[in-house]
Amino acid sequence: MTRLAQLFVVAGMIGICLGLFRGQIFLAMLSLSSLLWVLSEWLLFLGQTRFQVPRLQPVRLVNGEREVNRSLWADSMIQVRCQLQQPIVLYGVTFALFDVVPANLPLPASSVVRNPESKSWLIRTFFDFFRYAEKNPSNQFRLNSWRLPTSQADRHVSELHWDYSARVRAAGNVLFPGFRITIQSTHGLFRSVRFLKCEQSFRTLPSFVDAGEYQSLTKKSNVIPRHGIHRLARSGMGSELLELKEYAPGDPFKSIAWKISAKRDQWMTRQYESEVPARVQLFVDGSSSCRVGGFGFRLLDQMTFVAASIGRMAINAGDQVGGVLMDERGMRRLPPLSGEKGFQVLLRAISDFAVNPSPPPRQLTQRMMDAAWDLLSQRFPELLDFKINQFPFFVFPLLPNSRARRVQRFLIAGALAEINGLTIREHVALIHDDLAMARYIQALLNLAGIPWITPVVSSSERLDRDPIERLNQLSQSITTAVGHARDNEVFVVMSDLLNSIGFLEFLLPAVKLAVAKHHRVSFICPTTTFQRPSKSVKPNLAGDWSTDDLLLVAEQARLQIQSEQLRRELHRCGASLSLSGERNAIRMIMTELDAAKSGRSKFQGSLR
Amino acid sequence: MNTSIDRASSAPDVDNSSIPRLQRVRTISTLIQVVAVSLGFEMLLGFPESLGLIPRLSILALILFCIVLRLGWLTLVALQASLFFQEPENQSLQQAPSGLLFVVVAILSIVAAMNLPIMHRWVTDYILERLRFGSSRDSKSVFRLDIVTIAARCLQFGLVAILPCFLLAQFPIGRQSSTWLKWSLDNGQAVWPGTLMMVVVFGVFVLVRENAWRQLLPSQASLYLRSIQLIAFYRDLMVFERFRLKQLNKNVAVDLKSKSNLIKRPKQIRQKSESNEPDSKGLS
Repeated sequence: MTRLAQLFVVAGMIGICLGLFRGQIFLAMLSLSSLLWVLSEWLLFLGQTRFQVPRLQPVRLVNGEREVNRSLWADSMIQVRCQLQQPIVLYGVTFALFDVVPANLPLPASSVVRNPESKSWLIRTFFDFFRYAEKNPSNQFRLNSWRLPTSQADRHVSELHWDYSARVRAAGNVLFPGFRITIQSTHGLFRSVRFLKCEQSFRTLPSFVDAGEYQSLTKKSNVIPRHGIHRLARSGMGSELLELKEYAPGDPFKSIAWKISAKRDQWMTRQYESEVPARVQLFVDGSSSCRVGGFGFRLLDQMTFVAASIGRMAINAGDQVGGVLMDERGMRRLPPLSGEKGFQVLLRAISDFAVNPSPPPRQLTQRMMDAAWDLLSQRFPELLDFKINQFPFFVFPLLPNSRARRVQRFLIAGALAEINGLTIREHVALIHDDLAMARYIQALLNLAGIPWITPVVSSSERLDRDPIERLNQLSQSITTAVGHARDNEVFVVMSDLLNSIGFLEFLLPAVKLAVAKHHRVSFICPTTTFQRPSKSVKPNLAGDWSTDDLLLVAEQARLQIQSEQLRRELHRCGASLSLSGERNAIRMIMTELDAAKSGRSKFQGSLR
Repeated sequence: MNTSIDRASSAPDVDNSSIPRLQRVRTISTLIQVVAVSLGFEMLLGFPESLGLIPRLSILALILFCIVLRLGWLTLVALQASLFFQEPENQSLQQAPSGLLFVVVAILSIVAAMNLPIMHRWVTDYILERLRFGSSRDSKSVFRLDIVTIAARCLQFGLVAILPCFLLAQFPIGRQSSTWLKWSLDNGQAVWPGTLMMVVVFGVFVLVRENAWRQLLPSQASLYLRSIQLIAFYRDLMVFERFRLKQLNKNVAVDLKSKSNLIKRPKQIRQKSESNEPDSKGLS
């Protein structure tokens, strides 16, 4: 019942009382009629919602497909079509249908697509999409929905459909939960909000640079070996001549270079190059600090892009690609993969790894409660009904704002308890225990696909994992990889090391071991500013600087100092470093890979 | 879809030179509608021994104002106010059937107030259609409504108008109340209207509750039962929970204290060992 209907009921009741008391027949009749009219509208509305709404079966087609086992690509546009398949007969009902869009899909205004086929008034006039909820203008928490309003003018509708397009922000998954429908009676006396589940979850594979975009910086050999085989400048059983050397007892006679021996008057033998495959080992560190931020802006998103690009190019060159994916949950080792099938396995593994796990616990805040309220109102509106989600009477607090917050907490606790199937005791604990409430709200927001931004995680607290534990894990994974490795491998370590400079002694022994075993080690440390720290950046505070500019400069200056130190430390061990998750990092790795294939021992490491 | 709204949207396709003329026609039609409504109310509310002309016109203006502003509930309140001030008290129940027409018009005017833009568009479009195409065009195409909808609405308004007469006839009102009370006391039947009311109210209550329960989704029903259970046991469980949290906080505090002791311990141990040094020397 809306506020309007409540006003009618109150006016009707007062009118009846006055009419009966004073014996005014017309007044009593009019008041009673108005009450009966509201009652009849209610009965009609009940019938409509009970018998007609279940017939509304919205369907969503993503890129023309309904199957959920298909994959999407990060950084690519998708076309979504929502349609109501079943014929609808809505007598005097106004309804609005919202497609709840996950946070991984930003909705640009330019992506509004009108339906050119439909010629009805409804479509031309009301077929406008708009954002449903943007609770916080600071862009920290956003629930996106697109809606299609219809009116009672649209009585016989055989099919309604509307399209929109959106760009997938990051690798991981995209979960479309369903449709939110608001039904209103003819005159606006009654309103009901339902959520029609239509879950579709798509795995989102990371984007990568197309093969062939980067050319090798070293000269290619004249004789092209077989696919996946590279000439190594060490003596071996290859077919290309490496060098001539003096004969030593035990050398095979067939390797004696007779003409040279005759000219020099000394026994000389030919040494041939070895031909070996090169392998790339990717180490992706997905600790908490790499997962903070909106989708597409996380450090992990840069890492997945670089990892997928390196994998694509290496596999195109016939090299094998292995990997270790690690975070607080543990390590996952990927075997050496090759071929198109292997590349798909690699992408799927990275995609699954990019899905955010449970966030680290934090204190309960009002903003967190508001976010939970917004999400529950959108996806579980039926659980926030006062008549259903009842709570005990309370006297204190007396202030209206405090009472409203208390009521909000009771309702959220009830809804969360129902969703998670808690016992009554756990339900009561949820009402009184801030930590428990914060934990369940975090889980709810995380499951709904909200990224690790305020209020899911705290913006003030640093989410850095214990650096010793992290570097130990990294060191262990490198050591294990060295144990499994053959000769001539390239280790690409992607991790946020800038905040762990003081603890590098836990990592450097493993790096030295890998270098000593003739492997090449490259580090990629993506930065939060998306810009490589440059020495030329010198803050000039004379002009008009905004807070963001100052923060950016300060961050750049901090990164500059830390990166210099990190570069020196790694350089001493013979490892290279790139401080960006951009294409330059990919170029550096490909150069290293080229060097590994050619067998040159020249050190390539530098600050890129 | 070929509804009347379709035609409304196609109206701007008319030649540009005729636009001022159309606007004039639209304004005139609006005025005609307002005047028609005013006259209707004036006729309906014309009680012989009522207020003076100015108060009556004021009330009428208020009603029209509410209709124009699409305030349906305020229209009802205005109508009730006009009746409260103008209708004679202690009227006989015999007049109830004569109020049928008034009730129907009042409810329709409230509905019209709540849907004024749509109705206004319908009427003006009808007039425009007549002006453009003359009477040769089938006017039914403009107001193409469903038979089911019309029948349902007629039934609804009929019941809304007739039922009050029937219900009010069951109860003594105004002058009749004293005679009825005397009669009922003499005959020992004072409680029967109350019994009837109780039965009706109880029946409606049961029906409404049953319907509300059947309307619930499974998750809502589960939550409802959970909340009932919560209300029953809340006070006891709240005491347990607060006690648990208190203990938890105490343990955390003790933990922190012990940790701080651990940090200070080496210094304390050193001090202790320094203070005990003479004893240790003595023992050795």
